[in-house]
Amino acid sequence: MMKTYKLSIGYGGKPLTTNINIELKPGEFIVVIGPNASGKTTLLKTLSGLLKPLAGTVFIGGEELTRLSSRSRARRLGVVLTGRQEVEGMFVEEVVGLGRYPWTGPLHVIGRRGRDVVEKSMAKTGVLHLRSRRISELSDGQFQRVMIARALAQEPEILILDEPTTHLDARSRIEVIKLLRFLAHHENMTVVASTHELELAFRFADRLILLSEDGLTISENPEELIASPSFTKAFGFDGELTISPQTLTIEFRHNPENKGPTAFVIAGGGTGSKIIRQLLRKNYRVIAGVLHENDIDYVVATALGVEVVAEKPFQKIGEKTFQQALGKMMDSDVVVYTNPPIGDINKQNLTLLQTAIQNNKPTFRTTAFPSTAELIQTIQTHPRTLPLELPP
Amino acid sequence: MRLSAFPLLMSFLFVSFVSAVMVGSVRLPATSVLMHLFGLERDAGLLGTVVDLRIVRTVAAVLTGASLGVAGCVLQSLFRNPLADPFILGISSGSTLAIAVALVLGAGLGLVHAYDPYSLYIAGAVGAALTSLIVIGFTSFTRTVVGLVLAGVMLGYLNAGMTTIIITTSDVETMRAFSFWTLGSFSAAKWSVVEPVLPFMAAGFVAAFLAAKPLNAMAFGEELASSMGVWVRAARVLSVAASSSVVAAATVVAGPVGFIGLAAPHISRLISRTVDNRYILLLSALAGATLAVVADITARNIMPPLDLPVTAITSIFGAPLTLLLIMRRGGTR
Repeated sequence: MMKTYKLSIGYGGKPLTTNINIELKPGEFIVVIGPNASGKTTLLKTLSGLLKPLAGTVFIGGEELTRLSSRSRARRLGVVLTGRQEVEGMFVEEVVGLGRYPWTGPLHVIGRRGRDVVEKSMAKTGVLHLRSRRISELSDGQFQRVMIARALAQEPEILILDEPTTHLDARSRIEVIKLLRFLAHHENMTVVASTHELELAFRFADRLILLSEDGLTISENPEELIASPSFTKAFGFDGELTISPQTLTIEFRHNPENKGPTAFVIAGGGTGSKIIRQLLRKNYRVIAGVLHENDIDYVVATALGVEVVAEKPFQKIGEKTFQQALGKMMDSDVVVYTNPPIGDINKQNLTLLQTAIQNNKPTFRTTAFPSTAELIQTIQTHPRTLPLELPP
Repeated sequence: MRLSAFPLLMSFLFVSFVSAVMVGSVRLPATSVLMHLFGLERDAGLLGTVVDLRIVRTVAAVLTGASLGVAGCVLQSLFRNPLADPFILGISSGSTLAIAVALVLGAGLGLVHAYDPYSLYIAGAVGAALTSLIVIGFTSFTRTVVGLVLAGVMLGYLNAGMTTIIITTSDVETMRAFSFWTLGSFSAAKWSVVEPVLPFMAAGFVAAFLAAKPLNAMAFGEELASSMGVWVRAARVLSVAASSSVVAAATVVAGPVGFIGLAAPHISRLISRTVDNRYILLLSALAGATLAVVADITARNIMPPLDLPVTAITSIFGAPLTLLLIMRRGGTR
């Protein structure tokens, strides 16, 4: 168990964050998030004993971290730092064997139990098959897992990792994060890692530590953290970026002042998301309608900053909403119909489509084209040449 | 890891040792050299004298070469720089300068009994350690492999310049003896110089061997090493002490000899296919000793009856090797 008491962290006497009082329990996977230069690395290095606290204390078990010798500290706390040190010629098994450092004598002879631990550490992180490969030949993902195995060979209670997913591809990222969570939950370790991958952090962490200008916030649920003003401010989720509390995904909000032609998209049930994104990428100003507020297209469109004509959940499209949609549709340059499933509550959308065709609006049906790309191309090059028949 | 590297290098050393005693202005038969070496038969006449002379000289070469090999291995790991070598980093010349100061100024003031190997050794060790510390200081300014080497080479020039000034101001007798010694040679080797430095050399070897474990861990950087339980400051002090004590021993015996400390660890890693310093240290001692003996054979026999400074030979092979190593890494890291 790790605990801090009135801890101040920083470099060269300048405090970054002060008065940190946290308690990290065994079996917990804690993820530290925060923008660049918010002090993630400083916090992790201070918790690791690699940096001295500016004030206050870090306790490990009941003991002060700074009072432990580096040897006894290394037996309780393993560290993986960010970046890849180019070490030529060392074999994977040798590197993991270095983790036995605090347990071996002056000649680093690894005993039978030690070799067992090395073997198990490699097995846990899935690098057993790489044991006789040279460290310089490994991919970044493999290298990271070897470094984690090396830290595990120290048999620590606490594992601290600084940005373990940086430079990794999407799949290796998930694998590393899953491994860390596994170590916390099944090996009863305290695992603390920092990352820039907010979406991963929200999905896998037991607790989140946010470092920002407002100091340190520790939170058990991401939804609560997203709602907090210090989070919004720290990552700039008040401008072009949005994060959805429902799906925990990050979206880029397009400029609503877009001067391009206007496209009115009649969507629903998830049929519209793809074409809305494409149109935005081609600099169209998009209006979506009529969508119910519980529709996935509504969630995506609002996250993207698209103007939406919306109706309350599970209500028939009312006359007022319909008129509003009609007005906006008639003012737009093109109408795109995405073939949403039509039921009793949204059948007014069919009326919208009918009106568009009757009034000779350039109208396109997504299903009439083999791909979205072709649809977009047609919209751009022949805006007025394709009247469409009504869907059955 | 190829364990066959040990018997291989040991037999190379043995063969080169015997050859070194055999060849020269008087060629001796292998049998009598071997008989003499194993103490089975001693020729009391001229032949015996020649053999004894060559043995001293070759033993000096073995000890110097082994020392430089070990020092090179320690320095390459400590600086995480494949081009590190006591000669290139200016440590040998720092040792030389300190010895010159002790010899000329100390003797002049009556503090040091002239040619007292102990005083000279202490001076040489202090000079080597101080230069090492300055080079460590440079590491906070230059992060590249070549940058550090350049700093070391400049430091070497600085030391050599000051040594020249000190030597030139001394009396003619000292100047002549000293000038040849600063070129690096085994020709002046005597038991009276070799014997006193042996315990220091041995202590340096033991210290270097104890530094192997932390040096292995420090390959991943000092912070990560510290997280694995390395007491980094102690490991640095131990490494500097170890390399300084062996470099000083080599310098007292033979003057500054170049490039053996660079080549020996590379040769060892190449043939053993490992980078584990526990093995590379021992192998570097063997490889360094062999290189020094071979270089000495060459220096004595390439232009007879001239006895060339051994550094002339090691430089001709060592400098291109250094360039090769720089080109292979692009000189960037």
